[in-house]
Amino acid sequence: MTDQEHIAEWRSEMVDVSGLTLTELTQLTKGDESVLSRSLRRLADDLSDPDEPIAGFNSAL
Amino acid sequence: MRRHALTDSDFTALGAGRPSPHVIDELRRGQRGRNLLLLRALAVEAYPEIDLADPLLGAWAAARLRNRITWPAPAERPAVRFLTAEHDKIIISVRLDDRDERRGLLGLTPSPPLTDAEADHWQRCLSDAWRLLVTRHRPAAHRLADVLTCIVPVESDAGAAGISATSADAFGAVAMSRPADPTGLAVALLHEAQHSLLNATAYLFDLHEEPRARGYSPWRDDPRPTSGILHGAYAYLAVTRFWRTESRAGGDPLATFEFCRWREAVATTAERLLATVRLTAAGRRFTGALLDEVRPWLAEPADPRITRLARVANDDHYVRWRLRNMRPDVDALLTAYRRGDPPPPVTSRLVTDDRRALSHSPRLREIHALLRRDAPVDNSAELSDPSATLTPAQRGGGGGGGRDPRKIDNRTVETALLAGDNGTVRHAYTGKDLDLELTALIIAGGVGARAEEVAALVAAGSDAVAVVDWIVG
Repeated sequence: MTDQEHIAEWRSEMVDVSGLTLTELTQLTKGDESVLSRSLRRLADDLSDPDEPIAGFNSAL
Repeated sequence: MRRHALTDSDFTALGAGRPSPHVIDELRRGQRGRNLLLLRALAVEAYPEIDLADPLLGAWAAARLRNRITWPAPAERPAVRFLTAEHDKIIISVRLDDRDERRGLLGLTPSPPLTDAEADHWQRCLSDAWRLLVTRHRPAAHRLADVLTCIVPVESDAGAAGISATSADAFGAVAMSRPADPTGLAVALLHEAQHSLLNATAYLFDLHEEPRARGYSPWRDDPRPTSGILHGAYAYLAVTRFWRTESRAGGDPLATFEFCRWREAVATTAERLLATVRLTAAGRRFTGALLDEVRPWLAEPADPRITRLARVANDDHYVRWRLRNMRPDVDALLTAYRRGDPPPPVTSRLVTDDRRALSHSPRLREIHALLRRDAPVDNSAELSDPSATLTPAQRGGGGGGGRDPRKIDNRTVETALLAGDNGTVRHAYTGKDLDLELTALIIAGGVGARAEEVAALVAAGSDAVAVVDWIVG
């Protein structure tokens, strides 16, 4: 992908599970893990190699 | 199942630090989903009073999965305080969490539970900060109310006037030391909300491809990863916008100084990221939008005296950063210098130091003091009588009546640097105070990008003025 390409929409790897309950998510992943596999893999990467989680600020004025 | 997505115009508005409410909604949904996935990964099937939007839930679950903690979910949520402020019918309401045991997971040491008097101080500061934000920074106030849900009071840092932090695992939460005043609280909250926005963006979209690379950030004294540098630029984009408005509203020299200082730092940082770092297409689009937002501000007129002080402050930080973190090949430099050859191209190496370091500079304190006095940096009196700005004690009034030559020399060099009198910096250099004098000489000589080379040669016994002349060529 280059900067010159016109991109009308930026699509994430992550699926939107925000509307599910924990029980629904658990049932969903038990039934078909592949539905969420990319999201789970990305989350695992995120946890194993997090970018610096903390950002500091010195508000000295 | 729907994938998270943003239109290009929404994405660039986000990069410009102006996300619309529905973009913030999309980011918030992403974070709710993240918390849900974290609980799923922990095989948690029940959680007390589950609130997927609770930032401390994300912090707890991520810490469990990283094996940083072993304790289970709290059996019950403690009663917590809320801070609420309303101005012009716009409301902000946040949890002031001084009791939840998970509050220690945000990266700073939490304060003990607040007294009522301490909580009152927070409330007064927020009320006044909110009035300021709604009155003069209304779009930013709306964004802040959309993002911020929790403040965790933390212990102060002896080396900083104020300290705050945001965890990538806790969208909408800010860990913050006791605010000194409403303006400080307002700008710190805007700053930290930007971190939450960028954390939520980076969860949905990869922005860079070099997580290990480290480099210069104008906001920290330690080398920072690409993500940290981008975080700094993005957070200070909001800070710059705040001071731009404040400068226009009141003409406060300190506000103008902050605006001038940060517009340059944000713009040069975004330019450097775009030019030197392997960003993804999304990262280039995001960072490009950030740069497009700040770039027009560079052309806005400001008092030349304040513009100069802002540049000195930025140069000072850059020079100090290089002296702290970069080491050159001294042998190659010394050989060329002693032979009288031109300065060789030297690649300095980055010293590995993962300790977090905030920015400290006696020169910055000096500039702030100057601006607080709102006096022009007209050093003619000081240069003719270098003790003119010293306190009676510094002039030797309490001792044997003699002057302290070291302080007088520093004052001459320092005052000249702040006045843009580079010739006097050079002529008055004594080398007795390497911290202030050498950095002044490097800045005045325009050799900041080779600061560590100058320092290495001086440390080897070379004359500093001659070294700077040699590097300048």
